[in-house]
Amino acid sequence: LPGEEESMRSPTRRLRMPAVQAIGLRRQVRPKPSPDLRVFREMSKLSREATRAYIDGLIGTA
Amino acid sequence: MPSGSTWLNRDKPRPFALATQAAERSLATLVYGSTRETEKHRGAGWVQVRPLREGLNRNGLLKPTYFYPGTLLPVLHERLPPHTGFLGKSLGELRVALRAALGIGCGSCLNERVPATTHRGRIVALSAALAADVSASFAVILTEPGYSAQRKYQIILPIVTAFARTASRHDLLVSACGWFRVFSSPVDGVLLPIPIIQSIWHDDDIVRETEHVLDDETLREIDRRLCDYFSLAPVDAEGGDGR
Repeated sequence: LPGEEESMRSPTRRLRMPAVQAIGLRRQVRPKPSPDLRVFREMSKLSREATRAYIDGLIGTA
Repeated sequence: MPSGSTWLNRDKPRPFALATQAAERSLATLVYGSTRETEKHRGAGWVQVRPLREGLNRNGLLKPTYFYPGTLLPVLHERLPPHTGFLGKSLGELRVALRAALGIGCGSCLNERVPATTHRGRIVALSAALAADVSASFAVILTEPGYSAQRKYQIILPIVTAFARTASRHDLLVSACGWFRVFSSPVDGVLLPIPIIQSIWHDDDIVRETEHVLDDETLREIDRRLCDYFSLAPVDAEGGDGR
């Protein structure tokens, strides 16, 4: 209908689309990591360091 | 330092327990501890240990603590903080739980007795950051079948292709297997160094689950070496579960 076409072309209607997309993006944001996972990630740095040291021994650079 | 030693993490009630013997110039593998039940509810193996502040078995814990042997962290011996106690009688329970968390005797995810959503034995491509850190683009998942399907903490063993020698009797050398097709260029042999077995967070460090799965013979040999490394009940001679 002519009225509906006008509504679809209106500035208000065009502005709504980015807002909807923004909500969709917000929903894809990763949840906040648990305290345990934060500690694990921190400790993992020591594991990477230990692994590198061990691998260096295998390669012969240590 | 004997296995079963415990540590507090910077005086917070999140301790660690040592799962291996630790000596100077060697790696020590820690089991993650927490007062939270999150991973217990997700199906991870666990051992609960209550604080014991007196006697030979004092453990230094501040609160009842869950140790999760599905979350393993190798660290350099010299990085270990001063320990606070020992697990004492709980060490036996920890070893049983560790054996289960490692899926000893469970075979691979191709085993018809396990659901298709499990991952044990599957080769995965590691994130660029982790691959650079561990000098390996691929690793094999060793998490026991049930918890592996949760895609949370995964126990992995990096597959090392560039090496000049073995460092210890715990390094497993493997040659000419069908799953070598995972590599983009021909490889004669790979090394599976048991001491660098470790846990990662699935979504952080696994970028792709490949179609390739370790063969049963290699997995059985890994199981044997894991039992040796962590002082666990051995796998029986037929390759089945020796519990």
